[in-house]
Amino acid sequence: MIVAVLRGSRGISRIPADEFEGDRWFLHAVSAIGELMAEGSAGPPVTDRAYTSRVTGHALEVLAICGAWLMHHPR
Amino acid sequence: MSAGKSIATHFWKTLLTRCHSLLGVPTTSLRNPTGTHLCTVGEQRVDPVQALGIVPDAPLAYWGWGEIPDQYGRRTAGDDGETPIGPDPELADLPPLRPFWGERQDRSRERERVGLQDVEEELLAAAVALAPPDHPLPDSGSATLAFCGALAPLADGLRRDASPVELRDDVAWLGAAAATFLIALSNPGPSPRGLTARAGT
Repeated sequence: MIVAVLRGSRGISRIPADEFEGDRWFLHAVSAIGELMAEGSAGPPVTDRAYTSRVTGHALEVLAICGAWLMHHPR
Repeated sequence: MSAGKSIATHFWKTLLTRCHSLLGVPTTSLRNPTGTHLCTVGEQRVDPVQALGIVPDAPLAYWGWGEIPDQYGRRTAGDDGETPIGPDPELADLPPLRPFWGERQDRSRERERVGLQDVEEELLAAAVALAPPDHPLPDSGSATLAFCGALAPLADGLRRDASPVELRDDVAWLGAAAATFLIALSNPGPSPRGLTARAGT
């Protein structure tokens, strides 16, 4: 799953390397989490498929950003 | 297999299965999330009635292997069902039309593959640590708390201009919180309609 996210259309291939300089990547992650939280507080029940798809997209975005950060900073 | 590894495997199998139902796509598409299939125009014209049994009104694949369109389940062009399948070429046998496709020119792909494995292991370890001990799936409340708990130390580390080495665990924690949220989304609990029906009984 992680590899799928990293390699997929939401993955590292679409995130420029310079996005991981400084804290810009973190702002992207926080932005996605903020969208996710806003949907969670104001959205319809999670049984709504369109809503669930949007929230899933935000969560996958956070996962991809964090995974890409780890890839860009090898141990 | 150790208990930790077993739990981790179960955790990710659950995530994959839940994502299947959540996203409405087959798990095979999660392995190929872009849904890309390589097609080649044949060198010679074929008789569609003979090759397909129909006359399609648009270009249509009539031979292949992989997930689709091969109805016989062949894994490679030369798969005769008896000869052992060779090692996974990991996209190196494809033309370089997309990221990660094509023959490896150097060791960078190998390093990348190892890097992906390392990242997966890190995220896996963090996700297992976040998984609720007494329940098979986290609920949305615990998933939200995981996000909140992951943001503060990361923000503090960035404010202190901490090194990537210092930030590493916190970044993995935040990524794992996102994975936990995906699981929680797939476990919504009773719907309002279900609650109404229950209240009426």
